[in-house]
Amino acid sequence: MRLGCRTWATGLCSQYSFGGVGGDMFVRHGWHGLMVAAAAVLLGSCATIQPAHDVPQINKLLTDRGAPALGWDGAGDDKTLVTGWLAEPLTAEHAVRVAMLRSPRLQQEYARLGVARADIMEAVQIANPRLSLSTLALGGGSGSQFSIGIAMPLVDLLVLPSRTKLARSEFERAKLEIAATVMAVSFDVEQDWYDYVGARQVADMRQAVATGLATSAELAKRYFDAGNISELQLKREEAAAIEARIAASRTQIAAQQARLTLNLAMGVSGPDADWKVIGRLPMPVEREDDAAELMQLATVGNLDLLAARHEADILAGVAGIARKFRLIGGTEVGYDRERETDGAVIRGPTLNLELPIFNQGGARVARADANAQLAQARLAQLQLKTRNAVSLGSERVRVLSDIVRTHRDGLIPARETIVARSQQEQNFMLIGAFELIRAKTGEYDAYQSYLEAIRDYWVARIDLMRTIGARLPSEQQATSFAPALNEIPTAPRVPAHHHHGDPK
Amino acid sequence: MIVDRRKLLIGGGVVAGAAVAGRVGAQDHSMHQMGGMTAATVPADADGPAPKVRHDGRYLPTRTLNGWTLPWKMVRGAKEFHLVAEEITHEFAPGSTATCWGYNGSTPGPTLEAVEGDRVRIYVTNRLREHTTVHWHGLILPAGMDGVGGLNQPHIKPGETFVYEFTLRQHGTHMYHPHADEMTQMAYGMMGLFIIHPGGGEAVAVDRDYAFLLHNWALHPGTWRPDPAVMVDFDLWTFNSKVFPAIEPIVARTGERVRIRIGNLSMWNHPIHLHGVQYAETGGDGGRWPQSQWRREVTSTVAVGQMRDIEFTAVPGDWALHCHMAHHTMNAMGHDVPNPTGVDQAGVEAKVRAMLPDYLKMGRDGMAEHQEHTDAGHQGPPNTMPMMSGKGQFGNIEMGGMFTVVKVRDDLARGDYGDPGWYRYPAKTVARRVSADPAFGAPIRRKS
Repeated sequence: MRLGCRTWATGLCSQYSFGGVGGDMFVRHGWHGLMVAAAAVLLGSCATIQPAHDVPQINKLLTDRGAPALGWDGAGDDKTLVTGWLAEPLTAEHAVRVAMLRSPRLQQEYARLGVARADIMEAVQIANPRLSLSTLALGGGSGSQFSIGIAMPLVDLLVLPSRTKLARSEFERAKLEIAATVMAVSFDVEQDWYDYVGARQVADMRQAVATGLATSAELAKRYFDAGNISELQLKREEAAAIEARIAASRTQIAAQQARLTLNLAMGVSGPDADWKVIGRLPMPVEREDDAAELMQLATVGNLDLLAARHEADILAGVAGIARKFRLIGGTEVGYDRERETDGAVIRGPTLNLELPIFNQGGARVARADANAQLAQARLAQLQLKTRNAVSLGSERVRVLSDIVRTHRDGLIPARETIVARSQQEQNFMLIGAFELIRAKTGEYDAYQSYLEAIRDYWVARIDLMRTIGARLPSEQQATSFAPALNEIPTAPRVPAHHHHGDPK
Repeated sequence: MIVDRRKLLIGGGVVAGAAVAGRVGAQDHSMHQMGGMTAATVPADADGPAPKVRHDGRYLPTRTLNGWTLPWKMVRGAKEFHLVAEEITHEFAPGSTATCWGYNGSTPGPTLEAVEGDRVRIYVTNRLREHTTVHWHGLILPAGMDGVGGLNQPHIKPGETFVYEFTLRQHGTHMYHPHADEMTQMAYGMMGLFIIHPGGGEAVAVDRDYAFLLHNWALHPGTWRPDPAVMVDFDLWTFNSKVFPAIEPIVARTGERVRIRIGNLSMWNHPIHLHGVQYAETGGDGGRWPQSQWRREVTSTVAVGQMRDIEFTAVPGDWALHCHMAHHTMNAMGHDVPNPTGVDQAGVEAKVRAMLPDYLKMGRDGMAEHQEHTDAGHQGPPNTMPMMSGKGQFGNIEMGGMFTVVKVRDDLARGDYGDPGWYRYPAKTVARRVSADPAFGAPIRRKS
C-alpha cells in the first residue's frame, strides 16, 4: 500500500495543531509578521520542487543503474530517432529506446510524476487562514457591533519544517518509485524482444523440419511410383510430413503473437510496426556475476527497496511528530478586532485551546505507530524477497548458461556427427535416404533446443536484473553470436578421420 | 642295415639338396600399413618376410595364400612346433583393420606342415585373457590329444603352455582351431591349416600346391572389432582372412598341375567356383581319394567343417576363383535399405541437397555406378571397405570378399610366386563391340 502524499499531509494539518509558543510570536510582531513568516516558508518550500529538474533526476537514477534514460527532454525530434531505429534490424537495445519514447505505459508514469509533484506542492502549503466577520446590531437601537478576526491553526506553522522535510523525502520516494517503474517497463520490453526472437527462431526451425520431412515424403512418393515401397511405407512418410507442417503453423502463430506483444510494449503501430529483427542472439557471457556482489548491488541500489526504505522512514517521522504533539489538539491562534456598539474598538490576539482531558490523542499516535510498523514490515519482507530472489536468480542464470554450453559443446556436435556419419553410411548403401533425412531433422531439433536455451538464459538474466534493480555488470563482457538460422542447414563436415591405407 | 634315407634326413637335420629351387615355404608379403589402431597387443610391424622353414625334401611345400608356414625343430625324434594364441591386429584389406585373435601374430595362424608318419610335438602357449584349447580337425590321434576343453583335457589357462604329442597316421588337408569358447574364439579368427603330405609321395605329382581357409566376420561398419554374436548376417567373407582385392593371386605356369586345398570354418557352406577349367575334385577330409573317385567339377560346395582339394592343369589367362554366392563377393552393405532401382529423383535430389549437401542420388539403373562413386571419393564410415572395388585392365571388377584370380602365364618360372600383372590377351581373343546402337540387329524375343 502506497501512502498517498496528500493523505498524511492533510492529516498533519487537521489533527496536529498547536499554539503556545507561536502565539507569542504573533502577538509581538502582529499581522504583518504572520504574513511575512508564512510567505517565507511557503516560498522556501516551493523552491525545492522544480518541475524542470524532475526528468534529469530520474534519468540519473536510471543511468546509474545502467538503464537507458527517459526520452523526454522536452524538445527533440524523437520521430526521426524512432524511424531510424526501426529501419535497421531491431536489437534489444533499440527496442527499449523506442519504448522510452513511445511506450504508453511510460507516458502514464511520467504523468503520474506531475500528479506526485502536485501532491507535494499541496502538502507544503500552509492552510489558508480563516476570516470571520460579524455585524451585530443592538436590538431596537442604533449602533452595531462589527468584529473581524483572522484565525489559523498554529500547528501548520510549527510543523511546517518537519512537513517540508517529509515532503521532500516523499518526493524522493515518488521519484524512486517512478524510476523503478520505468526500469520495469524497459525490462518488460527487453523480455518481449527476446520472447519474439526466440519464438521466431522456433518457428523457423519447425519450418526447416517440416520442409525436410516434406522432401522425405516427396522422395518416398518417387520410390512408391517405381514400385519399390508399399503404400503403407509411403503413408507413414506423408503422415510424418503433415504432422510437422501442422506443428510449424502453430509456432508461426505464436511468433506473430509475440511480435504483437512487443509492438504493444514499444508503443508502435501502423507502418512503423513493419520492422525486421536481427537473426542472431548473443551467446552467454564467459563469467557470470558473483552472487555476493549482486546482493550488495541490490541492497544499496534496488529502487523498490530504496522507495520502501523512504516510505518506512517517512512514516516513522510522521509517527514521531504524532507522538511529540499528541497533547495539542485543535488549538488555534488568531487576532480579533471588534468595534463595539458604542464605537469603542478592542483588539487583540485570540487563543482557542484544546484541552487534552478526555483523550491525549492516543488513537492518533497508535494509528501512526501502526502505519510505521506496517511500512517497516513491508520493507523487511521486500528485503527478504530480494535476497532470496537474487540468490535464486543468480543460480538460475548459471544453470541456464551451463545448459547452453552443454548444447554447444555436447549435443550439437554429437548431432552433427550423427548426420555426417549417417551420410557416410548412406554413401556406402548401408542405410537408406529416409533414415539419413531423419538424422538431419534430429539435428534441427537439437538446434531448436539450443536456441531456446539461449533465449531462456537471456530472459533469466532480465529476471535477475528485475530483482536487483540494475543492469548486470557482466553485460560489459563481449560475447560471440549464436549460429544464425541460415548456417544450420549446411553444418560443418566431419574432419578427415585417420584412414588406414586408403584404397585411393 | 639299410639306412632309411628319409629317416636319416629327418634325424640328422641335414638339408638335402632340394629339387625345388627358390625360397621354400617363405612367402613375400607387401608391407601392410597399420596405423591408428588402439587395441593391438602385437607390434604393428608383425608382417614382413615370412620365416624360413627347414626344408623337408619329401614334399612340395604348400603355399598358404597371404599366409605362412610355421618353422619346426627336430627334438627327440619329433617335429616340434610352438603355437601362441594371442590378440592381434589384422588388416583385411587396405582400409579395414581390426583387433582379432590369432596364432603367432596372424589370422589364420601359421600352417603346420608334416608328413604322414611323422611324430609331432606341438606346444601351445595361451596369451589370451581367457582359457583355450586346440583341436586338430580331422586327425586320428589319442582321445586325450583331441583338444576338446573339459572333455579331453583341462583348459589351457591364460599364461599356460600345454603340449600335444602324437604320430600322424594319415595324409590330407586338415585344420586346427580352438575347442573352448569356440564360437567366440573362431569368430575372432583363431584357425589354421594342418597339411599332412603322403608318406610315399604323391600318386600324381603336382607342381603348385595352394591352401586357404574360408571364413566370415561381423566387422560392423565403423568399428574395429568383429562381433562374435552374429550368426548369419556377416559383413566380410574371406579367403585366409583377406578380402578382394587384397587376396593374393594363384599363379602358375601354363601346363603346370595346380592343387588348391580349401577348408571351411565359417558359419555357412560355400560353393567355390573356378573359371576356365573343369578341375578334378581329388580329395577331402579323408585325404586323397583314389583316382576312380575323382570328379570333374567347376563348382564345389565346401560345407562348414569340410576340406576339399581340387586339381587342374593350368591354362593361360586370368581366371576368376570365387564363392558363387553373389553376396559373398561383396563387402558390407545394408540389407534393409529402400531399393533405389527405377526411382526418378529429378528435382527431389536438389531439395535433399539443400539440407544434406553431400547427398547424391544413385542406384537408379542398378549398382554398377557404385564403385565409380566410391573410387571418386564418396566416403564411407571409417575402417569400412567399399562394397565393391578392384580395377582390371578393362575397367572396374566390382568385387569384394571371397574373390581372387588364378593367373596362368606361359613364361612364369617354376617356383616363382610373384604377381605377374594382368594377362596380355592374344589378338582377336577378347570379346569386342560391334555396335553402340541399342536397336542393332534383330534379336528374337519371347513376347511377355
